Order: sequence, then structure tokens, then C-alpha cells
Amino acid sequence: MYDPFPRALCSHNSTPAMPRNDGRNDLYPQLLRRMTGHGDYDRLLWVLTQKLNESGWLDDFRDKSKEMARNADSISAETMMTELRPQAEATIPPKVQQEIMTMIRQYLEKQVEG
Amino acid sequence: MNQDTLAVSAGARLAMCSHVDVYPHDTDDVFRKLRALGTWNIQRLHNAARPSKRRKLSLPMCDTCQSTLRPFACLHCPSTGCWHERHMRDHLEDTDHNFCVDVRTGTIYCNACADFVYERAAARTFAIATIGAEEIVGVARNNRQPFEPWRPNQKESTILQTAISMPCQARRGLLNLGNTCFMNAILQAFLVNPLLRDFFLSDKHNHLLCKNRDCTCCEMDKLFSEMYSENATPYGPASFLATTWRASAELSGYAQQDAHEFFMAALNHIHSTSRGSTKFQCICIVHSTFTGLLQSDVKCGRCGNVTTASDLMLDISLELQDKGSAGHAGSELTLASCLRRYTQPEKLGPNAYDCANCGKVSHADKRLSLRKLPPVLSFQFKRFEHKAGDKAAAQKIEAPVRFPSSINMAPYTSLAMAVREQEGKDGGPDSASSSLPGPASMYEYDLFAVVCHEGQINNGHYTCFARSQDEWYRFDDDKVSHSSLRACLSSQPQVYMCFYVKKHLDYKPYVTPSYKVAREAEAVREKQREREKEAARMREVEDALLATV
Repeated sequence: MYDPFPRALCSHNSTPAMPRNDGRNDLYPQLLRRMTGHGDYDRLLWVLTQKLNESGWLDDFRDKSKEMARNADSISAETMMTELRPQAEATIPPKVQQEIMTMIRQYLEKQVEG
Repeated sequence: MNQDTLAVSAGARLAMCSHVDVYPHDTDDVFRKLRALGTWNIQRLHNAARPSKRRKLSLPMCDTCQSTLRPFACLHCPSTGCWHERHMRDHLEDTDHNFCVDVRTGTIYCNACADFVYERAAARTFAIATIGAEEIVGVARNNRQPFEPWRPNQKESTILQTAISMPCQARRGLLNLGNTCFMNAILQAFLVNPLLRDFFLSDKHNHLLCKNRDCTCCEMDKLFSEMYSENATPYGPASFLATTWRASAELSGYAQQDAHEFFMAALNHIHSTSRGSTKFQCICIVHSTFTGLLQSDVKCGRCGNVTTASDLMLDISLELQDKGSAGHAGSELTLASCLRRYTQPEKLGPNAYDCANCGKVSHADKRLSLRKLPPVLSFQFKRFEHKAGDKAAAQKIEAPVRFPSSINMAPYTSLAMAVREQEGKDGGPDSASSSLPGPASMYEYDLFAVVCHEGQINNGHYTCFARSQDEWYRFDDDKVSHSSLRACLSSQPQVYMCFYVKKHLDYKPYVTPSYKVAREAEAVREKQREREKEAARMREVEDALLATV
């Protein structure tokens, strides 16, 4: 079968990363790989999507981006993202944010324990 | 596997943005890659839902930083780069490669345009591969007809060559014939309903050939022909109204009627005037479009025995008021919260249930769930509380209800209920839904029409929002205006009914309807009888001739 990722390596024993300077934990890449590889990332994303859909946030930005594109002569996706991202991050309902953060925290605690 | 030969032949070019010079040379490879990505995405999501049965899947990682978030694949070489740290864009700059594709969505990015570009053949290839992978993954749907893109055959190509194309977008207003806004709103919702539209516009019930009297199907056919014509002036559906009055006397007269009542009556009339409609397992257009199965499970409070029953349903009516049990107390009303409330266990009274299993009369828990989802889901919000059948003394509940432009119905299905019961969790629809069979798209619906009611119960006014492809329009009797998704979704205090259509339809392999089979058999027998009669006549003539000799 055609493999679109011929050089992909799902390695859990890669050499330790250099100390980071972006404020993130050293274990970040490894944890992220595990989270995406085991499907936990997709599961969390699904829960987040459902909650944001129910609160109307998803439709709000669906409409904002569409009308922004309609009203501009030609606008790139990157420009739209730059303009809408601050609003998007600010309007996430606090309750949803808390619930998802809790789920992430629970996941991380399980990873670090085992 | 699908061979989308329409899209590409060796050496054919992808017609994207203006950057012709920098197209990848091997277009076959590009399409192979897109197909692989489409398939991979579905397998990844399927795997995510089943941690115990996980298969090994290659995981794309950024070549530079090994991030697994939002990877992009170069279309010119096997490189993978992430988006957020600009590593893929750096790769494109460094190598003079120009195009890359977002692994998650199949969208193509052009570096020269510095933007995402849409290319029809590429999008089709990705979409078709996605559907193909979903069919493999959704093993529960064994009797589904596999998807094939439509290709005109010889006869159809000839017809298409000489056909005159005309605009037909059904954006005509409907004249108010005297408090008939209730009918106009529902008719607009019918007109924009993809299944009804396809049925009537493809001449499945031709009013010129039908011999019925007071045939609502003929009225629908006439309505579709008028509204999808080039004429943009408002249309007066007088004959539809007259036929409705004759079929349902309780709806006649010029008083304001309830749109939902009209909706149910119209569905009933269309069903009964449909060719080949039956009382059980009817396949008329109404039943094919709107019928779902509602399951009710009653659990005896004493012995725990569960009795299950299924009923056909054409729509779902949702309560808005809190009857005291855990409902909407405090939080806002949304379609999802109404559905959760609809499917939560309800306690039947202390001696309301006569259990067949233990033979005792006791309390019981009753739970509703959706056993089978229809292609078109209709919701009604019960805003009008009629007291003891007296329409005049009813209250209107003005509470705003938030509804989404798309909804996933998995948490409310009987299957999901069963899975949750087994896993021992109750409430929290989030976890169980991802382990249901089949891809998520099986349960996803898109909003296409909203019927709104303003004012009081007796002197109110009905209007309608309807979506044509991706644009929303507001229909206020004869006044039609271009609207937006935001305006439609802002009608939270007025929303009365909303209509959702399934994202992906499942088709069974085509089977000739039984009435057609019967009709053809009858025609064959008729011909046989004619032949025998003719033969008998010939013998008589011969006998007569012989007699004279």
C-alpha cells in the first residue's frame, strides 16, 4: 500500500531533546507523540469540537471567516488566521476551557505515573 | 480501488492557481498521495476510537522538529514538515518546491501564492478516497451500495450535449393567500429539501400523467416546477392550498394554523397519493426521507427486566420546559440539551408498569433513543402548550433555543445507549460516542431550513430561513432576501422547527419497486391474453371460411 510517510519513525527511544527555550517541558515532544500515536489527541479534539459546537463558538467563527473572505477582495488564509485567532482564543467559554484542561491534566498524570 | 480516470491521465495538468510552471511533474504520484492521505485519515480516526484493537499506522512527523501536530506533506518529494513552526514552508523555500498538502484535510498550499488553493480534481480524489475508506471501516453497513462518481453513459452524454442549461435556484417568494404564512414557510422547507427536490425534479411523479384527483403529489410536482423555473416573481400556491383543504378539513379556512400540523398533514397526503405507498415499510418519498425508528426501553423497577419497543417516527418533538427532573435548570437551552433531555431515563409512576416478566405492578424507568436515523431529521420545539385541547387558551414559550449548523447524532442513538450501559458510565455522552461503529460522518447532519414564529399564538407570523448550497436566504412570504448563517442562527427566540440532512447518504443496491414488478408482470399477461384472443378470432374466421367451402 502506498505509504505517504516513507520516512516516518514512531520511535519512543530517540535521543533526548536539547533543553528547550520555548517555555515547554523537555518531555513535550515525546508526550505529544504518544498522545497523537495512541489516538488520545483525536479523542480529546472530538470532545472539544462537540463542546465548542454546542456553545455556538464553531458556527460563530465559521460565519466570521466566511464573511471576512466575502468582503475582502482577496485575502490569504494566513491573514485571516492572524486576525481571527485572538478573538477565537478569547471567546472560548471558560467552562469548556476548564473541562478540557482537566481532561488533559488527567491524561498527563496517567502518563507520568506509568 | 477507485480509478478516478476523469481526473487524471498521464501528463495531464492540475489546473490550480496561476503557478503553472511549478506544478509537480508526476501528477499520478500526487493523486496517489492524496488518496493515501484520505484513507490514512479515516483509519487514524477509526483507530483512535478503538484503543484495544489498534493497528500499526505510520505516524507523520515533522522532519525538523518531530512534532506530530498539523503535519504537511510536500507534493514534490517525500518530505514532511509541520505548519506551526513554519518547517514545511521553510522546506518549500529551501528547495524551490512549491506545493504541499495538509495531511489532516487534504487541502493544498501553494508557496508562490502564499495561500491555500482549491483544485477540483485533487479535492475529488481526496474525497473519494475518504468515502472509500469509510466504507471499509464501516463494516456494519454491509448492504450499502459502494460509492461511485457519476459518469454519463453514451446516451446521457448525447442528451447533455443538446441540453439547454437554465438557472433554477428556487429563490421565489410565495404569496400570502390569507394567513397562509404557515404553509409558505413549510413549503420553502420542502423546496430546499435535497431528497424531495431530487425526487420531484427528476419527474418521479409527473402531474401531467397522474390520474388521481386531489393529488398532493401532483401539487408538489407543480410547485417544484414553478419554483425551480426561471421566473422570479412571487408565486401563489392556490391549488396546493385548495387540495390541502379538501384533504384535511381541519386546516381549511382563513384562520392562522400551526405550521407543524400542516407539515404532518402534508407528509401524510404526499404519502397517501404516492404511487406504491403501503401501510407497512412504505418506500414512498416521504417515508424514505423522514422515517426514523424510535426505540423505547422500559426497565421494571422490581426485576430489572427490560422491554424494548420500536416505533416509526417522522420527526422529533422536543420539550422546552423543565418538569422538575434534571433538565435545563440554570443552563441555556440548546438542541443538544433538548436531545439529552429527550433521551434521558424517565421515571414512570409508582404503580404505572405491569411487568410481564415478574408479573408485578411497580415503578419503572422508560428511556427513548434513536434506533435508526432518517436521511432528513426534523425537529420541532414545543413552544405551544395547549391546555386540554383548547387551542385558544394556550401559552407560547418564548425561550431562546440555540441550534448548530451541524450536529452529530451519535450520542442519542440506541447503540450509544447500549455501549454506555455496558461501560457502566451514565451521562457524559462524550466518551462512548467515539467507540461506536462506523465513521463519524454516518451520524453527522447539516442544517438546511429553519421555520421561525414571531408573535403570539393566534396572531403570529411564520418565516423561514433556507440554505441553497452554502448561502442562506430569508423567506418572508413573497419577500426573499439574501441572509447569512449568523442571521439564521440568531433566530433563537423564534426558532420553531429545524431541518437537518445527513452529510453522507447510504444507498442500498437498486431494487425495482414491487408495484413496478407487478405492473410489468400484468402487462406481460395482458399481451398474452391479447395474443390468445387474436388467435381465437383467426380460428373462428378460418372455420367460417371452411364452412362456406
